[in-house]
Amino acid sequence: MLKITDLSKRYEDGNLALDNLCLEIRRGKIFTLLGANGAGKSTAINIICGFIPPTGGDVWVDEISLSENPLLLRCKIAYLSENVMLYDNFTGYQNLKFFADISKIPATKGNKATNPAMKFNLIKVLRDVGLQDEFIHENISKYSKGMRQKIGIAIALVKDAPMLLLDEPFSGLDPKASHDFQALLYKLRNDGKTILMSTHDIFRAKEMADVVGIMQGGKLVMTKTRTELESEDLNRIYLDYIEERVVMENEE
Amino acid sequence: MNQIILMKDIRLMLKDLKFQIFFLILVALFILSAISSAVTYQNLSEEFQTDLNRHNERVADGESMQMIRMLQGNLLQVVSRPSPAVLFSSYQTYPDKISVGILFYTPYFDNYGTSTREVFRLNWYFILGILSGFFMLILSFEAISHEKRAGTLRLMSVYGFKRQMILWHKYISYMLLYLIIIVPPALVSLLLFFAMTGTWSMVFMWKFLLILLISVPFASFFVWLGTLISMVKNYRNAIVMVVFIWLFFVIIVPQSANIIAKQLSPLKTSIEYNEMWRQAYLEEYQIWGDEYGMQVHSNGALHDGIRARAFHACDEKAALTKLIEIDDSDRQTRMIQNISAISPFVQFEKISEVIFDKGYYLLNFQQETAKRSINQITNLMIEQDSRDETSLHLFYGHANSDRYVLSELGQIPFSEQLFEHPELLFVSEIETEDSWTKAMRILLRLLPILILNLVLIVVSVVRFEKLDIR
Repeated sequence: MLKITDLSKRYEDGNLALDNLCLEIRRGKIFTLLGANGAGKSTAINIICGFIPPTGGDVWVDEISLSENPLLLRCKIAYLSENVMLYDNFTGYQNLKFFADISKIPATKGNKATNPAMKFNLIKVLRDVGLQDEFIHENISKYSKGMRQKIGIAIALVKDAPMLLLDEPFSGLDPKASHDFQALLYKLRNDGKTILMSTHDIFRAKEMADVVGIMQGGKLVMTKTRTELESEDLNRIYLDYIEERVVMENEE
Repeated sequence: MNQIILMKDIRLMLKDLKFQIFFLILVALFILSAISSAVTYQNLSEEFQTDLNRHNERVADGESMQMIRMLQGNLLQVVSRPSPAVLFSSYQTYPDKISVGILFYTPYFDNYGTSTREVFRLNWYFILGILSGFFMLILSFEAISHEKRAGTLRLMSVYGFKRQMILWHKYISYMLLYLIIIVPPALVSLLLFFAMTGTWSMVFMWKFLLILLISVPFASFFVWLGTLISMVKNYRNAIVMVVFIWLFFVIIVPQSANIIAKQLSPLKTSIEYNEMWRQAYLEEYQIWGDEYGMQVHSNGALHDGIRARAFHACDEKAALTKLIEIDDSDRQTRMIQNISAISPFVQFEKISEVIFDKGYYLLNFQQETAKRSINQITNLMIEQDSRDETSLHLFYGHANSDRYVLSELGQIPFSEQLFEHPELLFVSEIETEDSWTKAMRILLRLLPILILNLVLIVVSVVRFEKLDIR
């Protein structure tokens, strides 16, 4: 379960990127964050992952607090970024093996149960995410963006963390890979994983999410459950918020 | 320390084309340096043997003319025995051999080789002191930026590793790679040298290990510097910084040291020094002339040695001005050395000189040895002359020129007795400092680089902790 309370981020230049964000995602649910560029989606994910420190608020994953135990919290998270690059002198398999290997390392002393022992057949995982066999032992430098994205997905899967943070995960995937990845996310959800995903893709958000949130100016301005969205036009709602923002900015 | 992360970093770097090229370059250079040093060693050995043979022949000959030549000429030679240290000779600024004009009591040093400055001579100093540091800088200047660009830094951090841990793994893997690219080629090069020259020296093997060990903090300095640069956002800026650092330490600092020292501690012109010499000579001549008159100014009573003593005294006074010139030059050289010691390359050179008894460090002891020998020879000559009133060894040069005039007059000018200790005129055992003093000297030279390492570690860690890795 993910719980975010009053999470804020103000940069040194005074820009308020995140303004008292509060949200809760229950175990086995997909929460999709929609929003224009600069709305604060990536900032929220960056803070949860520990890439940048918050200026206020806190995050809990399965009762572990970011402010109290950031290292342990990160062990509960698998992360997939929009642009997966990885070690270009390694093959796809070597990249996956490295991250699978380090997921066995206890992050902090006395927390040996932090990361589960590796239990995956890595070749099978790579096939499952749609990587063709002939590329498995090729250097990543020869991969297309979509193929690297698949390795990123495999890395996130193999970490076997209870919480998945996906920043524009469908970026670069071809329709077939997108479809397969979507199916994979459903499976993970059914396995009890909690998923927070940021995206610009309104249609996919509506299709996949148990809850959709729209962010604007660092705030979570709207949340709708799947049931609520069944009778509403998410595209229209989203555009309304964006336009409203434009009007507000013009008035200022 | 985690083996998986360390192995990952090492494997990545082993696959790096830059690393592979540098490794091949170093292997080639180490082998070439062994061949080049072996040739130098053989040449020096032949030269040393020729000098020694010539001296022994003169001693064995016992002919007075040979001895006269020995005493008249600049033939007190202080010669370093050739050693495998030629593998690690520094800039060829200082000689392996000096000769001393025997103008008793004032030695005038003629330093062989000082006029032929060879920069970037192919040897271990060039490889370990200059090239490898640069290579480590080039290898490490992408240490963080590459991981950041690849997104792996973000990915690693969600595995719960402290940032410091990632940094230290990077550092240790670079240092291990440094040893990989240095130790095996150096060892092969050393064995090749021993095979080519037919020599074997355990002492040198220890020194070899010591210098490799000492090169580690210098390499470490460049790795930390590279790592710090790798946290710069702009890739082009990072390249410019690397090039600047290289130029700064290798060219700007040594050249600036030269310019600054020449301004702060200038030398007189050679015309001015010659004028000083002439003045000193004439003043002394005037004093002797005033006291002894024609005994000095003409061929008068040469047999009492007054004329020889007078000219000797004039030479001695004039030679003192030469010492002023030497002192001025020495002071300027020391200043250049001290200023250029800002550069780690120069510090490493200085340390290598102490370990291998080379360069400026050795020159000081050669000069001390020469002075000691001259004092010893002078005392022995005084003692010999005191036993025979016609013996004028101390003023042999001048007395000898008078000898022919006196012979024509049918007089016996002075004793034909040879100097009794000709073996002292050839010195090949140059005693430097004991191990403890050397260790302290090395430690003092190491201290700045160790402190710099510490500062860079602190700055790198703090900067890395604050680094925006989004």
